[in-house]
Amino acid sequence: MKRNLYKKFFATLFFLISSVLLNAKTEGTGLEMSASVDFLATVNDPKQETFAIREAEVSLFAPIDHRFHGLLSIAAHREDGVSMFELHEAFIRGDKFFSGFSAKAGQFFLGVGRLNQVHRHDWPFISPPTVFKKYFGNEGILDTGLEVSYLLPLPFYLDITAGVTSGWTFGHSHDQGKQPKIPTHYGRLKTFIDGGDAFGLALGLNYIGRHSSEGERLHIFGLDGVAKGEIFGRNYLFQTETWMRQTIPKSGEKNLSLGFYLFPQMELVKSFKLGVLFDYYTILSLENVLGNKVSNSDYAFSPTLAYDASEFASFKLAYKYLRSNQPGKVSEETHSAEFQIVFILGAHPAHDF
Amino acid sequence: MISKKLIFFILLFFVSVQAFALPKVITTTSDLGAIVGEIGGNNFSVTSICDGTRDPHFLEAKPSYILAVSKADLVIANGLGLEVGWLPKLLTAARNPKVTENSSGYLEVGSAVKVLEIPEGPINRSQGDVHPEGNPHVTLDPIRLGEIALVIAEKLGKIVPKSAESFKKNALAFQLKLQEKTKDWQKRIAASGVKSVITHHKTLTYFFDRFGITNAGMLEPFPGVPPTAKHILSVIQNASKNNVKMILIENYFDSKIAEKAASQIPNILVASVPVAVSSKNKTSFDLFEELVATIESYKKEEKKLKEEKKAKDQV
Ligand SMILES: [Zn+2]
Repeated sequence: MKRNLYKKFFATLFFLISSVLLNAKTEGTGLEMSASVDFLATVNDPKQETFAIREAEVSLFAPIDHRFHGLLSIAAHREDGVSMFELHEAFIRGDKFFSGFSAKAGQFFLGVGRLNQVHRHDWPFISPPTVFKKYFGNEGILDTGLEVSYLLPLPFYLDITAGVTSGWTFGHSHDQGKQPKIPTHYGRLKTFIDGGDAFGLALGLNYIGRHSSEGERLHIFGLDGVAKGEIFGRNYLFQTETWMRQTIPKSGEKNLSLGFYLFPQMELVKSFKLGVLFDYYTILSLENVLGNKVSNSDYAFSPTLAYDASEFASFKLAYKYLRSNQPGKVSEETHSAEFQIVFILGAHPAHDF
Repeated sequence: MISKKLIFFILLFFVSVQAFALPKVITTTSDLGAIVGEIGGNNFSVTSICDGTRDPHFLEAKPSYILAVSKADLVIANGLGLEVGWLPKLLTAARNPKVTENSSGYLEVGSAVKVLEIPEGPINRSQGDVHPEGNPHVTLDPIRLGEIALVIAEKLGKIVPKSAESFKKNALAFQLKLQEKTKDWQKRIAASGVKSVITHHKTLTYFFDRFGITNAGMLEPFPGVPPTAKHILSVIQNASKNNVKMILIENYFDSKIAEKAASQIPNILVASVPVAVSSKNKTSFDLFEELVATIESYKKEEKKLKEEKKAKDQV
């Protein structure tokens, strides 16, 4: 109850501030505002149909002064049938200390992997791959802390990112969590290979760690790659991430799992793109009572057709086939169809490669 | 002992590389890069991000560009919103204090000349990607290009002060040559009889303004919005009714649909033209020369078109 009141209060306050800002003289401050709406309809076989706004986000961003700039965004998510506003990102960022270096403080999506750093409405497919959902939740890891990044002065592109965040919670959560023994800490190395118009490849190597209040140690390792370019006059995209997670409880068995996804996408004609998401997840440490390894897997296959009416409106249609093979159970299959509409009002900052 | 010597030589190597390294100038477009080459001589290492056969409005902010900007001593941009989709991203990601928007290592040339087509009244996205600061394609007017060269020369002079005078001299010579050539180009275009032209985007506005040509229409329905085949056909049909003789398509847009549509209509010529310096047209003079020659070619082509029509009628 208290939490809801707090949220309602916060949302009202935010809208009050935004409306005041929009009426007030913001000329010459560089203040920009953007709103994105992500609407999703799902038809599942055989269970249910949903038809709702998955997320609506309002962001304000501007230079703060001659040295820093800042961003504040709130998002309404649909949970248990109600749209709830909550603080999404709020951070101050500075990049004028010395060449190649930047730092940000506040609440933000951790600078690891690919999907975790891209807002969900800008993803090339609709729903998160299984491994992402299991490790980072539906839209990614958001936490409060400090992150620094440095583009090394080398003849090739190498950017190093490191961060520490509170780690009271990890993944999507609605309570404040508990103080961890060691807060969430992470690092990333990113490099790029430029093959001209035909080919560009960005590669990332990631690590995330945390020791929970109960003393459980978490290690996540990840590799991500994005290739983009043009062949035969058509744009293509190939995006992939592989993640491995190890949790070591204070007592008891350690748990090791692994998952990846592949997403090749090709432009069919101008504005239309067809991609196929293939994702796979397995628990490597699963054993039976005799201590023998037991095979298990979740995999999904999802052809996705996207139509980008412009940079500010996009429509996606996907079919999703999910198959879960768990020991001692009959394989479970689900089929679903998803339709997504995304539109953006106001400014839309350029994407990373 | 050996290791000490080795370290000394490695250090010496790096220091000398630093000392002999030319100041790095990054230009957003190839036109601006060509000017730096023209007036800066061998004093700078110049890299242009958009290579002249690409649409400068839309460009992927590749990490390799970010790396180049991070090492730049000077960034020269066209401005007037031309690079708004990618340059701010490059500057933010490069984190190079030397070239941020308010620093002395950043220059925008567009606002230094008289800008055309500044929108009157409020604009919004239902009108497409309207450039709110006016038409940014200023480098396609040889006279304005000369003025821009002077602005660039002044900035280059601040980076290599000992050569400031020679940069200015080179820029003035470049400007004079452009002015001289313009007179000749004006005569040739006037003699071509081409007075009204259709383009894909309002890219050639400044060129047309200089040479007395009206831009009778655009193939794109709204700025930055790709046209449908149906839209192209209707524009071309209308154009021929209004006595438009030429359709010039910027070479980074597809000219196939327009060529097909125009082949149905008598006396209309479609040509794909360069609108920026590239590996084919290495200097601004080459670029303007090709544009003028393409417009001049209409007379010859008209004769051919007429003969073809006659032959058809006889059959
Ligand atoms: Zn334009």
